[in-house]
Amino acid sequence: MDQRIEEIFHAALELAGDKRARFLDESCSANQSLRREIESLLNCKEKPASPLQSPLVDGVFRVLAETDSELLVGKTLDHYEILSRIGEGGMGSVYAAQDQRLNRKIALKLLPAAFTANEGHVRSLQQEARAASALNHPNIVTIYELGHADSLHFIAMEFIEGETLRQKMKRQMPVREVLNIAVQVASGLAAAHQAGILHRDIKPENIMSGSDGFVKILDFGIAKFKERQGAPEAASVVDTVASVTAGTLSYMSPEQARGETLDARTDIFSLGILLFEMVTRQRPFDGETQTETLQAVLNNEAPPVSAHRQNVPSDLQRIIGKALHKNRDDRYQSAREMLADLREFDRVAGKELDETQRANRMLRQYLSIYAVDRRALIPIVKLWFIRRYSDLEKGERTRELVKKSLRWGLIKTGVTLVSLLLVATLGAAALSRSEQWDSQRLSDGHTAAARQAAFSPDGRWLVSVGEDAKVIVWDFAARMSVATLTDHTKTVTSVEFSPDGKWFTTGSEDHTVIVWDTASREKTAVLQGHQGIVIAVAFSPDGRLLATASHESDDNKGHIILWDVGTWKNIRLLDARLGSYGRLNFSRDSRFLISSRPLMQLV
Amino acid sequence: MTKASPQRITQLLVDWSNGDDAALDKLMPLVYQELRRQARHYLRNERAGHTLQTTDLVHEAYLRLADHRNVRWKERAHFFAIAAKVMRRILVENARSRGRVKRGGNARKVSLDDGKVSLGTIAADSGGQLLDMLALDEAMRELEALKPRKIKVVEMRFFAGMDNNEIAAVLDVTPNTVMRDWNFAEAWLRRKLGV
Repeated sequence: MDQRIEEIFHAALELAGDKRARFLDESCSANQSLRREIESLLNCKEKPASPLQSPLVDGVFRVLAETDSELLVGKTLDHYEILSRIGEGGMGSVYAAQDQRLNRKIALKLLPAAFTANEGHVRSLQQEARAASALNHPNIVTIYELGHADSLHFIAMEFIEGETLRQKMKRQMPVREVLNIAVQVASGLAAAHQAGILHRDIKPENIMSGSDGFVKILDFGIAKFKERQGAPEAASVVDTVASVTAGTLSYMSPEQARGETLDARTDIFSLGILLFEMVTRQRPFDGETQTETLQAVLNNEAPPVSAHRQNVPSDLQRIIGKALHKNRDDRYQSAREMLADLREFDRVAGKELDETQRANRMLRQYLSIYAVDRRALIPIVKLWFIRRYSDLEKGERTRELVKKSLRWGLIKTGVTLVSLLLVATLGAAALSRSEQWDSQRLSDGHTAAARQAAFSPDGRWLVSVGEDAKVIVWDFAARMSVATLTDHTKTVTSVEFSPDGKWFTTGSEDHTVIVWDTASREKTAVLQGHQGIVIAVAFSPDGRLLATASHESDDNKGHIILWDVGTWKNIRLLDARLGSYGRLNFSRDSRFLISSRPLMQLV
Repeated sequence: MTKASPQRITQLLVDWSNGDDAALDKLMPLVYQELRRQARHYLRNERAGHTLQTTDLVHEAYLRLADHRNVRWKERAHFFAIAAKVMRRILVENARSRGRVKRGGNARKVSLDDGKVSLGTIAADSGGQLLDMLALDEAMRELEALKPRKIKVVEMRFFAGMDNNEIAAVLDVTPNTVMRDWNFAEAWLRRKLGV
């Protein structure tokens, strides 16, 4: 459009009558079309009763007010009669409504009209409905219909009788319940991810716990179908809206906070936060301002669960910790993986959780007896059981009782402990089975017969091995197992610590010998070289050699291999027939290898 | 939906005034929410027989969302500009599903689907003129493609009731320029619409 037209127009507007006519003559000169253009504009401007004269603000408010959610109750939308408002979602209000055709109660999510003009919003509403309806899973809310009526877009979905997790978290939930919820949510997520859908807004407000026991994931409002490989995800309008509301910030993953490409592991992080909050009733990343919260998400490690709640099983803590890794590659790589862990924990802990009840009952009993008779103490074995499994809050009296019982119990077992240590330093036989306490303890960890056990030189650890192929490391002072190593595939026959306590080795019927790092309990080396079951392992007192013995049952042969400690290289292979239950020891000066068969000299 | 912090709103407003269009996308839903809340007040007051300056309501919305301690005139003006866009959209969308918006008297419009209870009615202030919202929107889009700033002026003046000084602050021009923009736009639009 010609700049001149404007200029002339403005100037002409200032003038009237003849003056204007003359001005137009001058400026338009011969150009008739120009003149006509300007005259028509002037005409229209000066016509009376301009509908654009007074601002329209009133009308707007009226429209707003009358399509207001609160006023919708009682009205009918399409074939749904609106009963009551049940919540305010991220993009609109949610109502309870009656489906008049099928005569059932449903939930109706409405998107206000003004935002349906924005294609992005309509699309995201469609996405939401499609996302959830593409999934058919008991832990994901069922979508019935996506519709449009009376300038409102809506989603009709199943109505859930129950409460959101947000409401549920107001009370402290027992670990069993948290686990149950976790399994269900992870299951729903796994299904969604499998269908290529990310939720991206997992938080307590978006998960319903139905009174029928089913937990359902809602509000796929900002869910996204997985981008095609390689295409970076552009932050959509909805994405940024969600990030502005302070409530959702605390559930954001580091990658979301940084605006990076998202993937399934993002949902897993949010699930981790959810679990954390269910267990501790605190958020792991929180701050006074949005900036602080964001900082915490990006930089701070999640605080330990035990800081907020006692007696949370370490496995669950580990699962939560893994889900909350800042680096995506360190988290569970899929919801299915996390689900497997949760289920495994459920299986293992299920037993434990029953024992929790037993332990609690036991403790309560002893407490009430103690209240009456100060001399009634808890026997050491039961005490260990209670300490391990009970999750009751330990009050003043409880602590007193426990302390007294422990002191008395230790005094009683004092004698036996000393004799155990003596036996250990002689480095010979397995622990005497007649020692009540130990056999009970060891069998509590192993699911089959325990074969051998060994103390670390500093007396801190006890490692037991058994026919269940397990290697269990016990914290001797606390009388608790700290690790169960399952790397061997068959019966583990032997175990011994190196003289400096740095390593311990285990020999197994799977023909291998594994060297473990004592502190980290991680595998340092897997020694393979034996052709038969390993029956004995022994370190030389100077710490330089490791001898391992095997037996091949087929031809009744056997071998001893000498390994260099540290490099774990195979130094020597010796023919030796020790039978299947032989023993192996070095002489004090490390020069002789003693076995249950004749003395062998090493040079 | 929990509210965003006032600092955040103010920041977004500043960002937008510095040319960041993404800030606008983030602000609009928030402004919309707030206007809705104000609208409820409007209806309540109206029923009670009070007359309310609707620009006061937009101002209220602004106060609620933005940082009270730093109510700077420039940011407030930007807020209104956004409110104007939101309001334009509300009316257009509303009209889209209902037909025309009648201006003049207390015209009531029933839903196009007879027999069903209408979810809303449109009433308008005096003017006595029939204004086709959709046609207006169409015309505005056309002019917007050619002269975007003029349409911004129209939005702010016609939909949000801002005065020339306020509009000038948002667009960073003189009030005189605003006046001229308005004059031209009004002429053009009226000609296009034939009103």
